Amino acid sequence: MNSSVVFTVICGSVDDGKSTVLGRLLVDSNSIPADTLDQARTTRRAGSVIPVGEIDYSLLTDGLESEREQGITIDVAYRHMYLPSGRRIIMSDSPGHEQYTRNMAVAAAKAHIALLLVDASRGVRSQTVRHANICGLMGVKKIIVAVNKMDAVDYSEQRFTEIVTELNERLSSLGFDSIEYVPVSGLVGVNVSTHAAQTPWHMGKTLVEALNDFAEVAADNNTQLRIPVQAVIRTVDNRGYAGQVMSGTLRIGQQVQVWPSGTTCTVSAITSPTQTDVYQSGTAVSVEFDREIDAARGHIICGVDEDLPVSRVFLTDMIWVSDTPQAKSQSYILKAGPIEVPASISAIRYVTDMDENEQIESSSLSMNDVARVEITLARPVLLDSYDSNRDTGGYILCDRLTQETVAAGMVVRPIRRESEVLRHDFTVGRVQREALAGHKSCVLWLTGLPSSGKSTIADEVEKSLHGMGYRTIVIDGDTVRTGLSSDLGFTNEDRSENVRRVAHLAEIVIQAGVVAIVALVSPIAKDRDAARELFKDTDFYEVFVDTPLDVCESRDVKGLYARARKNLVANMTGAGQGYEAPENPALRVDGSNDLTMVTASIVELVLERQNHP
Amino acid sequence: MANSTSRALDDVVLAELEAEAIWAMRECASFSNPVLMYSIGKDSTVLLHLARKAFASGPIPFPVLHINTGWKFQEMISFRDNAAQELKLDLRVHSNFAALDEGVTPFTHGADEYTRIMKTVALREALDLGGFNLAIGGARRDEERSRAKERMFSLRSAGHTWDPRNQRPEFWSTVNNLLPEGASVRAFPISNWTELDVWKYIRRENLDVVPLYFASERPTIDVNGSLLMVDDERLTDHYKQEPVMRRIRFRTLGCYPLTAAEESDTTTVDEIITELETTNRSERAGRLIDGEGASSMEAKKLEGYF
Repeated sequence: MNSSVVFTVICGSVDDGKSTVLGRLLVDSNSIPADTLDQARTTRRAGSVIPVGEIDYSLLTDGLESEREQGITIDVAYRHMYLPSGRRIIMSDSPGHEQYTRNMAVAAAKAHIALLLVDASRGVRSQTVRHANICGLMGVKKIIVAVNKMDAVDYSEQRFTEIVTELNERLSSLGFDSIEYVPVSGLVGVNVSTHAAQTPWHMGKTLVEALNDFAEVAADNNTQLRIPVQAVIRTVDNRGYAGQVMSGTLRIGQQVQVWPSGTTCTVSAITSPTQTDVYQSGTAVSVEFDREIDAARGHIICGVDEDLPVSRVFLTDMIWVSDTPQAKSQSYILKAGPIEVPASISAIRYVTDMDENEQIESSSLSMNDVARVEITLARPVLLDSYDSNRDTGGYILCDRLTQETVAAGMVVRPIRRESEVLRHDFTVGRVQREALAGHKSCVLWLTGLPSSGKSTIADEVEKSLHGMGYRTIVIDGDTVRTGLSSDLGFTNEDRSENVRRVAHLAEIVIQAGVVAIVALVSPIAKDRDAARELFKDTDFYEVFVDTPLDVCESRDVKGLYARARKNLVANMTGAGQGYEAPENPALRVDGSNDLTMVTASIVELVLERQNHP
Repeated sequence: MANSTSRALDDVVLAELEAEAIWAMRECASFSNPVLMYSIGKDSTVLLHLARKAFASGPIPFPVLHINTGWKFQEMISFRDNAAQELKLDLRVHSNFAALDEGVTPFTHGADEYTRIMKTVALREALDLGGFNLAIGGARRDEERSRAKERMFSLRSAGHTWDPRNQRPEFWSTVNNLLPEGASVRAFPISNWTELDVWKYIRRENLDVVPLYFASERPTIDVNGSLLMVDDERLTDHYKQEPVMRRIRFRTLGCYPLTAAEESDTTTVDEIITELETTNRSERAGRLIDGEGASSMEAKKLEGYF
């Protein structure tokens, strides 16, 4: 988006003097009120060696009590700074400690410019490289490296050159368009806003000059129209679709398409704070159309002749920002602007060791990990590449239970565009296969306690359907465990993964035009819900085999209940572990009732299915 | 501070800040039960105007809540009621009635405790009573240093406490609007505005503000160097001083025993802007409550104050 308020992230290792350099910048640019300056002259933090009466610059920037107590920065502070050009920079002062890396990522995500500090006496540290890496990852294109504390190395040109050489090598692969190196001393005020006598060998810019030049933002040349709909506003005689023009331009009379419906329509009215002919990116608009369309929050107004990057599987970069590690197969809620969709991390290609810039293998993600992953969504979604647009190509993952934001993702590209899939399926697709079979397919998902009779019922249902000419397959939990899921145990995590595999297998089966009869304990509601989300409503029928516990125990086909009583089987559903009964199954049957009646009621679901498209 | 900039650049900046605030307002509407906090001051006036713009030409899709401490200037209350009527607002007013009954005042309980009871506790009560899980406020990052640390959508745990060490990360234009049981969010659509932006926007949009922002002859008393305006006899009764007419205005508006005025000849928005472009004092210097304890704003925020 175009912007004249420029965000700058100020980062670097702890104790490299970020707060002091920032404080100096703010004071030199006359951005701090006099009474606040007075406070910084009189207040002193523990261990401070700055004489009372002089300005402790770091006090101007560390805002939280615990930060002042410990003398460190924990979270991002946002401060306004005015450049000689009259432009405004919002400086995001970000923490240097490794444990607060995620807060640094928050600041970098919004930044156009990075101001990276290096301590001249200590040189390049692992956090320096880490922060540079994260800036690159977050799409920051311009970086100013301030080699600070030059006073401590006697303003040595040689020392400066050493650091420039070392960093240049590391920065070259991180995607920055412009890099500027400045030797400074925040403490003394060297090369911050004025050229200093101490460094006559430095022909380059001061920090303020570098910021001033970098703040000139080039015009946004992304012409693809994107307006994610945030809200629908009911006006007197029409509906306004309200959102922000994230890229491209909009005018009255323009033809647009609305994703996901694909409806093409013409813009008949635009309400915006500033009325104009052409609405540029960054503008808040409310758009009305020449006819009624079906659109809601999370839909996107797009250009009419575009091949939209819609897919269910995306290759993305990701930073994990939660204390809770990522669990294999766990389903999360993905949010990208107003879009909301269940998602899981289907593969971790590699985790990047940010200090060494090396790619390492990993089976899960934990706090501050940066990784390249594949995400799989419950339905096809439009996500741009992060490179082309941070707002429509960036997303977050939220935990379903704690509701916390656990990861931030940057889309690289769709792995398989939905348009390609459609084209491929056109030759022989589910429709053709079902036509050949002579019936429509669906999933019957039998869930219930062990020994509730799922396998027996599945067998009867298959016999009955087979007799009527239906193509069928039973996917039985025990069978799956001996093959497809033989690597899994019975922890909650492994059960989730087992359910996920069975669900995808069932999905392939119904694509083949075959009725899938799943007999699986699947005790956890969340897992079954995740399975259900793979299917449209008329393709998935949850059948709750609700057999009384005492009947299950007395049958105890595999001796599980008996062993559980003796504490031999850990994590045994029903005895050792809770079975979460479905609240709203398509059908509830009692496995202790007459088998013929039970079977008939389940078969009825398949017959009924034939009436739907 | 705040170098004077060209009008053309001002317009571009204001348009951007406005668009960002409107985006935030629309995200607020995606929460299940939002409410807009209205404190009647200049920031609230701008906030309300932005809410109207965000949902034009429909109505503002959430109610407007005023926490009345019982010590607001009379001019503020009548301004509020006019605004509510003209803009057809769904206005809710709440006070800590129990504390009012017990006779809690700034004089009996001290500024800090009074603020906690009449503002922080009252706000928590009102949010709980209304079941609101998102409260929109007019706080800005340039106001005060703990506010500089705040996210635009800032999570409060059940009990309304703020954990500044563990804030929800905020990325791009994506808001996590999922909340744990009992938690709520404070949203600050004008986070990135400065005091000067607010006045320039008021000028551009030609908004009415409470007349107390403009200089006029008003009855005042001098308490330890702070000029307090006499709004009713409760103040003079307490300080046992005869009011003196002075030409004063307010830079910020709070409870009248806790908000100092300044002597001024500034009578128009243009003059306020010129004054701000040339003066060099922080905005909340006139708020007597902020000074107590080195970072008392943060202490209040931890408990649920805005």
